[in-house]
Amino acid sequence: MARAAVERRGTAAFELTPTAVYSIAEVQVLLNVSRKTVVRLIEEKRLPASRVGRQYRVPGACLLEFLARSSSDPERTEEALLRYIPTPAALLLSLRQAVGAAVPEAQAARAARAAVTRVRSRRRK
Amino acid sequence: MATRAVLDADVWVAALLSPSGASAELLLALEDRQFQAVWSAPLLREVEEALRDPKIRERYHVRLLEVRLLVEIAARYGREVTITGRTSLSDDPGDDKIIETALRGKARYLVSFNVRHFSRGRAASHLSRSGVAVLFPAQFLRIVRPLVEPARRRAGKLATRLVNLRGKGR
Repeated sequence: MARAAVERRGTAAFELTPTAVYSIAEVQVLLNVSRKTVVRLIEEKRLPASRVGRQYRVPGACLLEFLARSSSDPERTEEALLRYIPTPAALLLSLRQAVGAAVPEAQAARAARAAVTRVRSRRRK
Repeated sequence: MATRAVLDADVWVAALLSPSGASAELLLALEDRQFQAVWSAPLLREVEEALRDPKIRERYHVRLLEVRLLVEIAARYGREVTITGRTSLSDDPGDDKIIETALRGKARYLVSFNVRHFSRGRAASHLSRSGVAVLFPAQFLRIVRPLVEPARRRAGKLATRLVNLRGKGR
């Protein structure tokens, strides 16, 4: 089943893309684990997934985050993974919008200025 | 050659806090190579430190992954210049670093929310003699805006897709 999922996508196109969404079978191939393990990771809320009808769908960005988090050296794994993201700015802004933490620019500017001022005064001390 | 501009630390930080604002659109323009962001290590360190500030992280839910993405954007699409830190043209040593980055990087624009700081005294005369215009993000965006539209649409589409996914997951 997992092999069939990969064949459907075509070998060349099948890679971990942060902006794509993956089925359980595809995650199984990407992580090289059993279907049972993927389902367990989702049910234990260690791997975020969306439910579309009766099926799970895992966003590529969440898979990347999961891989980095589970690594023995998360910082270096994350850095290595980030290099493969084709459009980091579009992804970053989409992630921020999806989190729902966006604020108007005037408020963001005030907060940013204040944070930069705090950094500078800490340095002067 | 793409226009060179220095984005002040507050612009980088605000881009992350307000993903639909002018600063954020500048990141998309940068990704589309409509201009080149000149940066120096102390400037980027300041951005990272400001985003790791507990007040910012807690209030705006900033994740480490997002900070790393921002640094990756600067590294990939920007141009690093080395500064000495010995320039002294303003009252704030932090502003001096931005000014030196702009001068050494031969930037045409210095983009900041703190335009006032760069528009007075020796800093202003030095910057204007070197042909560096000091602008707010929205003003600089108007210069690059005609070329930003495709990137904006792309990001919008991506955001809608992610938000829909989250909605369905709940």
